Amino acid sequence: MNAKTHSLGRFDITVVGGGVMGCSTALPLARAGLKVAVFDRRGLGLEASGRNAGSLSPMIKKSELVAHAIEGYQMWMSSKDWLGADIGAHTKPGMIVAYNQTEAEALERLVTDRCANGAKIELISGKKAIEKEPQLSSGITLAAYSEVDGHGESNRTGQVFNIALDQAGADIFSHCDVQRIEDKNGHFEIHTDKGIAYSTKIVLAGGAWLEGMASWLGFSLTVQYKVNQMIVTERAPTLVRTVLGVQNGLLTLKQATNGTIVIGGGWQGHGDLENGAWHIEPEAVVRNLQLARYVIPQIKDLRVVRTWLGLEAVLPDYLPAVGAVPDVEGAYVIGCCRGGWAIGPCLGSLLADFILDRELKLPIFDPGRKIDAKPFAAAGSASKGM
Amino acid sequence: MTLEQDLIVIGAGPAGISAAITASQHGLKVTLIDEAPIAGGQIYRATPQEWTPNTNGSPDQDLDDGNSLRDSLSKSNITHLTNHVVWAVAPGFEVRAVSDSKEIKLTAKKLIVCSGVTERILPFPGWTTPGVIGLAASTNLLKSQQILPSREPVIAGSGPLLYAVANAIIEAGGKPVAIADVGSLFDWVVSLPKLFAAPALLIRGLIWRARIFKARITVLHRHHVARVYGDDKVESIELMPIDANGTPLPKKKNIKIKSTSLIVGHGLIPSLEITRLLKAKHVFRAERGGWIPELDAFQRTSVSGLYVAGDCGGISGAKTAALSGTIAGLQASFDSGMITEKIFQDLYAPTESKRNKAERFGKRMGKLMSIRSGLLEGLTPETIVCRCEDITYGQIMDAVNAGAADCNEVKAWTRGGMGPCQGRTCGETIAEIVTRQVGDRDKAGFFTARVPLRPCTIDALAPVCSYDDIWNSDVAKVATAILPAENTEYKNSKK
Amino acid sequence: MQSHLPQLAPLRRECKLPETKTDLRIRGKFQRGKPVEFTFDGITVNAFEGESIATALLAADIVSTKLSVDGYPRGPVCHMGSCQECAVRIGGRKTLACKTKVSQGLQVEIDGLKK
Ligand SMILES: Cc1cc2nc3c(=O)[nH]c(=O)nc-3n(C[C@H](O)[C@H](O)[C@H](O)COP(=O)(O)OP(=O)(O)OC[C@H]3O[C@@H](n4cnc5c(N)ncnc54)[C@H](O)[C@@H]3O)c2cc1C
Ligand SMILES: Cc1cc2nc3c(=O)[nH]c(=O)nc-3n(C[C@H](O)[C@H](O)[C@H](O)COP(=O)(O)OP(=O)(O)OC[C@H]3O[C@@H](n4cnc5c(N)ncnc54)[C@H](O)[C@@H]3O)c2cc1C
Ligand code: FES
Repeated sequence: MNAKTHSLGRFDITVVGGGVMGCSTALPLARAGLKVAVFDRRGLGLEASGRNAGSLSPMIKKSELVAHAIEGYQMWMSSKDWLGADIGAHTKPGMIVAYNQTEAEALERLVTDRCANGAKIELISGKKAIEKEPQLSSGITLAAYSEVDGHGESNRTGQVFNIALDQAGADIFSHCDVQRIEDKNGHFEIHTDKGIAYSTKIVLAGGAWLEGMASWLGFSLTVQYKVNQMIVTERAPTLVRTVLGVQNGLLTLKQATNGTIVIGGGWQGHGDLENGAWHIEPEAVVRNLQLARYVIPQIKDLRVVRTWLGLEAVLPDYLPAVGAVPDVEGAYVIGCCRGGWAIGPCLGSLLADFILDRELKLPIFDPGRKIDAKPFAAAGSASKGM
Repeated sequence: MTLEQDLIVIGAGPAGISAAITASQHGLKVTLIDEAPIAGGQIYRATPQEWTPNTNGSPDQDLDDGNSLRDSLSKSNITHLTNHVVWAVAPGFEVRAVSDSKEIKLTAKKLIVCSGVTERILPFPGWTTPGVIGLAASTNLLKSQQILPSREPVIAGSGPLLYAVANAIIEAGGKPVAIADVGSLFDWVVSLPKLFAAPALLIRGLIWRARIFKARITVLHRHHVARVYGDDKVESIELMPIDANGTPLPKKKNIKIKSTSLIVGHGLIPSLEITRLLKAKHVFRAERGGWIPELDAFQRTSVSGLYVAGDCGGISGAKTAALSGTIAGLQASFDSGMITEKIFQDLYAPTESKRNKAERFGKRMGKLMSIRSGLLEGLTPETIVCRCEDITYGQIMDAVNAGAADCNEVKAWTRGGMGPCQGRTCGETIAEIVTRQVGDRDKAGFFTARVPLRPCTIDALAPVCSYDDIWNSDVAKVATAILPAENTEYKNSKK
Repeated sequence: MQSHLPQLAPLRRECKLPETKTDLRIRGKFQRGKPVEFTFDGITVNAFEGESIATALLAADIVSTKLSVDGYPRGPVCHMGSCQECAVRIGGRKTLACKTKVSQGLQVEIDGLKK
């Protein structure tokens, strides 16, 4: 079989990239009766979508995304109904703590802003915070509290979508590397290491690799990525009830249903587009853990069993790209959203509605918009040095 | 605290000690790290410091060999860190180790990994019953703890350790009820010529066999454990005949034996977490223990400055381990400019020929211990594969049947391999199961290596420090530099 | 080591005291350390300095030393710190019995969460 000429089939629509964005776009399309193919060079959901912290935290998303985040939250909570499988999402209260005046003021501004956009968050005193989360250390100046937060077992993203897509009749090409796409005016040729697929429409959903994919179609999109590290402990008796964070973002901490405690906060490891996220920065693990034990002193007795890392893609304005590729008929992109695992199902179903010409429940995010914000010094390179 | 070295050697077994001594003799500043309290590695694992040898005790070759290695180590200039677990390694090289209470950072341009092996125990129904222990584990108990794993165990599995353990148990006054060898007598006989490469070891093996024969212990060749009975303790063990590939032969009769102990092992697996973390190239060689780092004749990996010696470079036994360690130490000295090409060649040539000879024996032993895929045919859907998370064979098969096509996919879907042993116990089994579906081990892949290399308490890894210290660390600056503007007020206010 | 971890729920105990004691320790080659006593889940166990907790439990015929995540009995397998099946609780921390030496008065608890 010659990969240069071997035909993988003809499809109405082909999704390139099998993360949460690609899969949740593909699923409604397949259910609408279209012949859908999903390509991923690894398995489904093995990159960011299967390696993230699984926080849902809908109330603290960027203002423009609060409504989407609440919708995404509800979708994950009811995943059994629309996805056919329970992703293990649970509601838990969310709490963000501030340890000094500067942090407290910033937190106050954040809460005011989000509440103006429909979020339900209250500010509570440090004393009240400890009542709600008895294991917290003292010294909290102010806390934000929301009843509506939660998390899910994001490591199972690939599994649940694999099964659902299969049942919906989509063709899944995993371990199939897409190398380029040719626009043949009216249809697309998708060239992979296993052969060529022919498709009327195309959705690019490559996560951190989206910039390269967009360039196949001559569309320039500035995608940046971070190399986020995560830490998980062994199972422990119930210690933490909330999805916990520190105002400045360097700590997220929660206890999964199985008792393990998942610790993150955007500490940077090392990686690049060629090798993926590939090695931990040990010092950042140590600092992340120091912050964690500062906030919840008792976790000191637990053992860390694993750390891992993944590439999180963002656009310079920290809003996603969901919509049509400018000037290329039949081509769409989706991705680059902070908190993208939580919001993914909502964005995917919106893009599917858009492609199917259905009415949109919420606004989408024009990939061709002018982005004023300056790109940050690329995280990948910024953290490359030792 | 950062300690700067010329060379770091991880693992103080025969390979690591030899590598460190050689490099140190040529002037390198060397640190040798091991989690054990005393140097020696697995084969020369010493008895506790609290004990004193009785002068009238029977001689022990391994103990003597180990003592002489330890002796040369103590006379050298090497910094030997005992009781230090290496929990992380980063390119460059940075080695992070943790002792009871302190976390340290070491850096060096050269790194020699001599992390040895772990034992492969393939599952069978009932293998999680307390009282089922490893063959290698038993050598450890017998040697360094001076205790019998059991007086009347059934011993099963593959490779020379079967007979070594049976022999040691007899010597200490026990009597194994039966030995079930996955291999056939023929497998041993065809190995003989290669085994002549190490006559002393061959003779030792023959003495073991003679003693086992004399004690009238049943030796069943081509047999594997069908099932272990008992709830909170082993009560009896059923053995079944298998073919050369390990597949059960249902037409032949199984044998049920009463015993409260099963000692079992199916070979050794190189410990590759560190070379994996550093993205060295690996190749699959079943007869060398499975995945091994790709090495040249000088113990160099595909990563510049990274060397591997000993069994973690492929199963080959203690003798080869020590010689390959010497070669790695020589090469690291040469690469660091400490010796001339001439000196290097003069020292390398004789060591290499000795190493090659020892390797012939070692490789043959490795082959006897290589994995036989049929051994998994006896699993039932309820058999637990991942002990840490209690994930069954049925759950793994469900994932594979639903489309999980490599080890990491199975791990993400089932949690198999996500527990505290980090997949060390179930990794091989899951890889074999996936391989059955996708064709070969290359496609099945392997669990991505993750730090910490051993579970470590947060207390040990992350000592208490002030809030500002955390924020002022360089790594915190890297992380906050890329936060959205709305989050960075604290950062700005600190300026 | 004082732990502040919340108290564990009572466990399904599966470890019985052995009826007969045949000592598995090999005598002759070494003079073991001083005799010590420690407790495993309240049961007194005799041992010698230098021995690992796993060794001492084996000598006392206690083979089931923890409960798995689904509540099944388990015991040490590898005796080299790899399999994690020998985990016990000391001072509220999970500790490997095969890598930890016995000491006089040590209080060792069975590990495992009741389902
Ligand atoms: C460590 C970490 C923690 C996070 N924590 C959270 C959190 O708590 N909550 C939250 O909501 N979000 C979180 N996120 C963000 C979230 O995970 C992502 O926003 C989201 O998963 C992005 O989904 P995606 O489908 O766009 O990308 P991905 O999941 O990365 O999917 C892209 C896919 O494209 C495939 N691909 C790339 N190139 C090719 C090619 N050439 N051919 C074929 N396939 C290709 C890749 O293999 C990959 O599977 C976190 C991210 C990380 C990394
Ligand atoms: C339990 C066991 C018992 C064995 N018994 C025998 C026997 O009786 N006879 C025989 O011929 N062969 C035995 N073997 C095989 C043995 O591996 C080799 O014969 C020989 O010891 C290999 O030497 P080495 O130097 O390559 O590795 P090893 O001797 O295994 O030395 C590796 C060293 O690295 C250390 N190490 C590994 N990872 C880390 C880390 N992250 N941090 C700190 N230190 C680390 C270990 O503590 C160990 O001391 C046994 C193997 C095992 C696993
Ligand atoms: S017995 Fe395996 S880790 Fe202790």
